[in-house]
Amino acid sequence: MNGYGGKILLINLTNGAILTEFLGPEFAKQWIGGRGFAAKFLYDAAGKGIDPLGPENAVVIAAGPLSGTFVPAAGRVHFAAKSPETGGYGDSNMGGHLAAEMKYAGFDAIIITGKSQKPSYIFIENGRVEVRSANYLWGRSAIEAEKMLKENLGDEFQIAAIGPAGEKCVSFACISHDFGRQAGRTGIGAIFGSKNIKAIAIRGTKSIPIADMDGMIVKGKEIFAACKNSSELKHWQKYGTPGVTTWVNSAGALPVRNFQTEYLEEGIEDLSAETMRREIVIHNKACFSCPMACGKYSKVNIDGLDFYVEGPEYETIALCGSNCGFTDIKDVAYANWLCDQYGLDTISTGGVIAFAIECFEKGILTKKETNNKELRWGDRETFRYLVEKIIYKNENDFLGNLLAGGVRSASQILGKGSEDFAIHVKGLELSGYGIRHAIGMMGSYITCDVGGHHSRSWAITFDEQVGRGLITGKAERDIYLQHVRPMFDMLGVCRLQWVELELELEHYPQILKTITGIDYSVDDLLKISEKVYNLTRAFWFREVEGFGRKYDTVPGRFLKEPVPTGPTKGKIITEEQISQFLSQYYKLRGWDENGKPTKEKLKELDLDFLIPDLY
Amino acid sequence: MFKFGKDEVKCSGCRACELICALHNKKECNPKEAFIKISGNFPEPGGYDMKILRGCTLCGECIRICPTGAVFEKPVKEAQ
Ligand code: SF4
Ligand code: SF4
Repeated sequence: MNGYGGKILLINLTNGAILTEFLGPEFAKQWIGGRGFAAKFLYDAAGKGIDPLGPENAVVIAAGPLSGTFVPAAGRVHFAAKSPETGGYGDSNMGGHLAAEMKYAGFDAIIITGKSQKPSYIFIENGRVEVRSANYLWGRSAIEAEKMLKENLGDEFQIAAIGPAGEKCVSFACISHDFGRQAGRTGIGAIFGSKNIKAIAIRGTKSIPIADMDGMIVKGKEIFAACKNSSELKHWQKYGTPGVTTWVNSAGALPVRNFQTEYLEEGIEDLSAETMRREIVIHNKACFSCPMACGKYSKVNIDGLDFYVEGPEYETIALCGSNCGFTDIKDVAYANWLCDQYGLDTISTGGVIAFAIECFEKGILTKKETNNKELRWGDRETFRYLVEKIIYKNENDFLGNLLAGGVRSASQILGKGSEDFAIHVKGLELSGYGIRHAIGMMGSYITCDVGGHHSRSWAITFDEQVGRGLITGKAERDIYLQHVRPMFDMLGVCRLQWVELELELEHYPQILKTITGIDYSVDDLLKISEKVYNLTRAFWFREVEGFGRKYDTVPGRFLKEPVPTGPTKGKIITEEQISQFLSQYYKLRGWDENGKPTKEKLKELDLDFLIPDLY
Repeated sequence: MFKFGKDEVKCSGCRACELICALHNKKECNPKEAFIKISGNFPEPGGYDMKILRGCTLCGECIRICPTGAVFEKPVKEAQ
């Protein structure tokens, strides 16, 4: 099948069954690939009401039809599972070289269910698939495990591995790949750990069948040239995502000390992209076929020791940096290094540690729980202590277990008003944008289908353009972004060339046609993206008792405490704003007042099979 | 005719050069078929090695696609 690896790999770890199925052309047309495949396979494979960390949960890894082909940044792979952190639909999209390698091995998706009896890793070389012992890798850092697997198997193998956090089923453990790329969000690493899977190693020597090879090369060169001609390219190559740090701060939207405020009065220069480039970056590092190379490889020397880390990228600077009180890029790089070694999502980890420090500040956690340790803002030792508490927790360890569940569960256990400053949406810690004066960005978070994350919609620039406090037009914009951005996740390419280099959307169906031979318009693709968004919404309704409108909301802090400093000083979100926004949003989406897709909407999107689950 | 110039410090490891080489010279959509080989030195010390392999047709496709100028053309007289 042109454009595809052509096969789906099903691995049941409980009984050791390894099956290969051919990808059906009709299925491929309906769900495109990547996020589309992942969401659909997950919906079908993980039955209603399962324990996310139980053997019944599935983890789906999916590449898209553009992955591994001649398109700029064709290296995105999608992971999906029922999230141990939120209890709802979870997914995470990752760059690097894994998606391409899956395709070269002939696989568009890998669906892993069951549980291996012993620590194992999955070995895939073209059609040869084995579940092998990972005894020698268990307990190793994610980076070390990748290095050892490459040494043993060969450098051409692409590896996705977990660290000790995944092994211990920490709810915000990530998947790590290419020495610094992660599928960070929603705790997919914990699912690997719960299945006793340390890693996947893949190598493929096949060629992806291309419908019109010459056409793809011509069109591909045109898109590469468009990237090179963009005036933004050089800036991105030099700074990567940290290029936005000072802008976000000047807009009064940078999370500072657990979102207590949204502006850093002092020290922003020391967190800036310019300082980072000058002081710590040693090399640019790109994903597969990407001209932008937003990955910045850094080296810091702390107390006489060298630490090598990819990053920090913007979200890490925001969450592990200013949100934890750090104002030195070297400290952030060190925090990043710790997370990468242990296999923790930097966004959630920054949120969790900031929450713990604030609890300590308010006397909700005391020295009794911290072995006499003082938890302080901007303190490397505090960060390291808490990370290691989370990783090396044993059954009797209150603090480690408390934090390993994320801020929602921790605040439910602690009470005493900590719920208000547990900064999450639907159980997922917020990424790097303050939203007390940014209705579009607020909407992005509260309607995101994995919880508090910006990947589906990133509307803060739109807020700036049209008026941040304005409600009108925001729901429409969020919905548009929620269809466009995940479209890239379906195709298996990065969206940043569209977002930042301003490539035209039309390029994508055009090159997709040369690769698959199938004619889609941008609107066709967006319609499928809308279908996937409704499917993931349905997943929440199926899995979470009483799910609906009340889940689409912000942390209490944003409703009760005006921003105390900076350009957004005095701003706050009101219930009325949320309500107005949601009513507009649901109406535009064809969802009812409780946020549930109507039967009519489901039928319109060919999602009739969801009706019995929802009605 | 030209000779290759390499500037490994600039290379970001994107492998666009490998992919276009395999596509152009072998009609294969897999960078393993390329006559140029990029390999990373991670986690330490970082950075990439670039190698031109036997079989290179000197078509220059890799040079034209490279987004960073890490592979480039050196006039023959200047090359050592
Ligand atoms: S010049 Fe050589 S290495 Fe470069 S694309 Fe052509 S054949 Fe490949
Ligand atoms: S030489 Fe150029 S095209 Fe090849 S990997 Fe390095 S940066 Fe990419």
